[in-house]
Amino acid sequence: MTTDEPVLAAADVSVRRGSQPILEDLSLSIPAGSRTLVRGPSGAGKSTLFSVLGLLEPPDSGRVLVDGTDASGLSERQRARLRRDAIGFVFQDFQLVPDLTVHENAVLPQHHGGDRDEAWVDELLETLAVADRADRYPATLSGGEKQRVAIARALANRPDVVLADEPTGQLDPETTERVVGLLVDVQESAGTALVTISHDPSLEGLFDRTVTLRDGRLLEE
Amino acid sequence: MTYLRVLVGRWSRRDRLAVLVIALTVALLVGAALLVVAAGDQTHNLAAEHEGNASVVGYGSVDRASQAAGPDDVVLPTATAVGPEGDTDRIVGIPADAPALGLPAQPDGTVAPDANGETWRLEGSDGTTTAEVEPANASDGIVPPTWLRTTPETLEEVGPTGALVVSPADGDGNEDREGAPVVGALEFFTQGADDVLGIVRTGVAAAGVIVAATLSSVVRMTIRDRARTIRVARATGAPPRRIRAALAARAGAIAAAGGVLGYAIGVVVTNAAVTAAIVVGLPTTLSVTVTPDLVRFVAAMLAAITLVGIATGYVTARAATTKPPALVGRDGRDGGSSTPSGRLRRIGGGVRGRLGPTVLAARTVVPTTATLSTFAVIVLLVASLGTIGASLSTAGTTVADPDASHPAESRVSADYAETLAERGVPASPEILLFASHGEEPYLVRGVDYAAFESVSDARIVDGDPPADDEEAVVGVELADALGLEPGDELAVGGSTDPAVGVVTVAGTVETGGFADHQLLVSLPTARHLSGLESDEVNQIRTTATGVSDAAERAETESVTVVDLEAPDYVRPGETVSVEATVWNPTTETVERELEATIGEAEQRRSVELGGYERRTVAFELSAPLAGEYELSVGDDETTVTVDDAPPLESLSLPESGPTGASLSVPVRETTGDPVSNATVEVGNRTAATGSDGVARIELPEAPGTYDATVYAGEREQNETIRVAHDADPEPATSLSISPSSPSVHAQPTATVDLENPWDRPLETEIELDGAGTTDRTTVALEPGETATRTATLSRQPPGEHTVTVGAGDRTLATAEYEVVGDDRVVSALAASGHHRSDGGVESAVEYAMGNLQVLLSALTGLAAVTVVGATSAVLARAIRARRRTIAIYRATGASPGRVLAVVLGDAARIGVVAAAAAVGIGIVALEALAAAGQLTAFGISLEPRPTATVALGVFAGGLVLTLLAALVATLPLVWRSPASLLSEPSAGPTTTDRRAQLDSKPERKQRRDPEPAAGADD
Repeated sequence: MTTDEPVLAAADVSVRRGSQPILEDLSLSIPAGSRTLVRGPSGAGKSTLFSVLGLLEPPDSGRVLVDGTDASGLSERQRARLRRDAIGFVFQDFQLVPDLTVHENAVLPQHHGGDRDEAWVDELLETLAVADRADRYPATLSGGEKQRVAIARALANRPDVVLADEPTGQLDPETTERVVGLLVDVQESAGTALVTISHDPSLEGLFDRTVTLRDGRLLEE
Repeated sequence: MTYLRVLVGRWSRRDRLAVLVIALTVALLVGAALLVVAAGDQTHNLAAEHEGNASVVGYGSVDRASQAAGPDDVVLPTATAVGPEGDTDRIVGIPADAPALGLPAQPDGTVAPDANGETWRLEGSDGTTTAEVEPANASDGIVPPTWLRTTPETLEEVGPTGALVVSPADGDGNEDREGAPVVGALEFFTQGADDVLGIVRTGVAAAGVIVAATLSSVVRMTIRDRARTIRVARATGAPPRRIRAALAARAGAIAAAGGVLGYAIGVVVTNAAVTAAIVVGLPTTLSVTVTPDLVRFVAAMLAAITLVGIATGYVTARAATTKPPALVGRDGRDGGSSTPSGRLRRIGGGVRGRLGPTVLAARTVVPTTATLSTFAVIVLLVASLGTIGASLSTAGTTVADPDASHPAESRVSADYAETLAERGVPASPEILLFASHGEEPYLVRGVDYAAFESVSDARIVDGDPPADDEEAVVGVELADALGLEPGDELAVGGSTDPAVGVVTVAGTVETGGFADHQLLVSLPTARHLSGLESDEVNQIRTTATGVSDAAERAETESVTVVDLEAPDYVRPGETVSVEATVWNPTTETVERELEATIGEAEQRRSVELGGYERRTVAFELSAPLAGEYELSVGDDETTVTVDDAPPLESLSLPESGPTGASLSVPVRETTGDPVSNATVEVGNRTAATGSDGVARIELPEAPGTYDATVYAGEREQNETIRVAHDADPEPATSLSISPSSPSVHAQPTATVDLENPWDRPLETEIELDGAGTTDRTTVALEPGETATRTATLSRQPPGEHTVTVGAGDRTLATAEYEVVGDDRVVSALAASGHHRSDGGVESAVEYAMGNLQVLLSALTGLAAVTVVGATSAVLARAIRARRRTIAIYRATGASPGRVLAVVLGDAARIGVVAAAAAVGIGIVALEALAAAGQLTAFGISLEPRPTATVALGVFAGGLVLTLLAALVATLPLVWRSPASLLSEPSAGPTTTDRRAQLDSKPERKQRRDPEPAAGADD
């Protein structure tokens, strides 16, 4: 299910670290409901792209548009609201709050204001087969379980786009297959776009398109 | 060795913050040390400036006194004298060499101030004799005026029953002495100040422990920040000892830098405090200067701080160099808890959820409590010391001079007590004296014991109430401290003026208050010791209920007319202008209708007055037919005479004038109206007044004193004038005081109207004098010219006061006015007496107290700074430990404001618990100090338990400081981008570590998670 309307777009984005260019005049458009895989070798700027697209850090130049809203002119508070409502994150190292249970971690975005729909989160946990772990703490979960909780959290607010940064980086091949399968399933059922950053070539078949990041620039494949 | 240089010398922004935190805590120690040393030095310097303080000791026999006396001491034998009417007094033998010590000269025979040759019986241990008592010619010096004086030889005949030894000062003004100084105030304050400084030292020592704890906590944090470097250095084979040495050096350097910066902050803050004190007018001689003692102290303190830093660094580094390199920095102890057990609150609510912190670890409450406890201890100590003020100052339900900075300066009329008593308000006139005995400072209170009982819960627990002026009762605590019991005699010295006296302890009294630490003597004895006039006391104590009862009674009296001004004479049908000053003696706003009447004429005015408001209300009435009338307004009235021809005003003539000079003479009626066609006669010269009521008359050519007479119909006025060749022409002068009946609060204005009535210019210096005011000015007036001078008079006690205007030795005009004030109870309570600072000892005492106030205020400020620093350090650690959580919050859409609110909410929850605990710990600490006898100053055992207000204030202050510290610690974090927070290495344990911990502690794993953690399905 794709449309031509982009839910997330980067236009001429550049990021530098000191004098070192990381991203250079990069443009990318993510249509609603699409699945995009961003590949690239180490040091290509994949994680920086993830941060910039997720409004976790502002680019030095260029614009990032979320649902047509240019985030560059927004205050930090407004950017936080966009993140809350429109973007979900799946991190390589899960980034679960160790002091919150599985359920509390998954509903966390709903506790930053906005609409609450805990039934939806319960449904997600059910779908992701971690509902029986709802009252456990992250420290007692396996890597695959943690990542599924992270996926549930990413979708908790029904975002327009989910950004996943090496979501399988800490998983073994068997678990990787299962987690990515679930990620794609829930993405499809939620109707959200998915941008996954990964260097794992085995994932290519699951995505609508694959782009390669090299030396701070995108190459369409 | 690059990594070693990095370990020692590369400091991050957080390390620099650590230096600042150490500096803020060290500033307290430095500031307190500076102040304690300066205050100690200054107090003793003040005392030394007033050296020459003799002392007096009482003995039961002359033999014991003689044995104890040194070569320069004077022994005064004493015995009892019985008057012709059976009254007994003490008689003292004055040796010939007495006057050197302020004692009276040796009398011829036996003398007493009011004697007139009566025969007294002298009773001694060996028998009795009689003596004719003659009036004393010489001053009684420092001996009580009621004592009879004789020669030691006369007393030898009957056998002295006791003796006083008066010792001269040995020079340093603060000698160790056995008895009482003849000027007690300075010793009272120097010894009291020493007590306070001792208490402050104890508080600072307690703070030192917290400073050391903060220091080591901060140092640990900075070393753990280097975990990655250590890990890599270890992994690549660096020797652990070298790493430990480098980290210890790093910790020492950070601690030393913090110490040096703290020294600078401490010096700046204390100097600022002293400057502020001077700006606000607090009397202080504090000068924060670096003395050799201080240098030694600061050097030792910096060395100690550096050593604590090095030791903590070494111990922390040891942990990082003994475990496997892979586990360095992953011990889970880096800051607040990262374990689920460390939290109380869960997303979603519930009672526990609402009470527990969200992000910060609940156990942060422990170090926060530790730092807040420092604050609580210091503030409670300061508050406790502040209660000394309540005992020494004129505050409370007392009538005292509001301008007096300490009670030795306050002077109020003892008559107030009678006024209050008449109104049914219990009142105790009191004189406060500062005294000391040996090393024990204490307060002496001159009281009328019956009156004192009426305003206190005094209860005689041993012995009897005082029966005469030489008997005293002693508070139970002071009796313990000085080892006194009923029947004992105690030599007492003066307060701010030299004096000696002996009182017999009649009983011990328990009041449950400050008086338990005081000696209660009679008012006459206290007057002798204080040098107060016979009708003066320092304050009048009453009771809050007495005052409120009186205020209630006053309530029913509503508005009162306190002053009524109306002309003495008016013409029939003329308008009588009346001004009534009305006063509301209550706290409530009241409305009253006032009616003014004279004869048949009446006028009503409604007046609304706020609490204690005083206002003038004007009436205009039409004068009735000729006759004498009572003009009344409200409950006040005055006599007004209605007459077609009011009497003439007294002639306003100069006392003297040059021969042949032409002089203008105004002739007016008492109503102020000019009288035309009146005849003025001086000697054989006459002149008539014009329509302006002024006659111009030439003085006779022959020198002499002439009658001057004015005739206007049947009315006449007489005066005399001296005429001389060399007489200077004087201005015609009139003097008026406004208001004519001021209250004790008011400073009335004296207006001098001057006119040159002569036909030639005059220039003269005039002096206005009286009512505590002297004002000189030179006036130059052309013929006929007028001038007006005004002067503001100082506040005066109730009664008649006279002001004069003079030129040279001639009086030009005189005016009298009456200060009202003792007519109403509440007025009396707010009344000011007259006081005059005599400088010398009194101002030295004032400065000593001022210095202590500055010291205590500065300490409170420094404690607050320290707490913000130390609590910031604690919270920074706790918050930093949760930066990953904060980053996740931010990434998942929490705004910086929301994160800040969550952290501040946590800080508030932690602060509430920590502040409450700190108040508790503070109280326990003070109780412990009190139990150890460390909480005594100025002879007063301080109350370790704070009032509810103070406890609440400390609690609120602690909470606010915690929030401030949380703000300081959080702000830098919440504004960072979520990406940068996420990219930092985790401070908390990793999954692997946690698993390892869980595996090694099966019982904890069981408790946390009853379900099996292993066997995950992935």
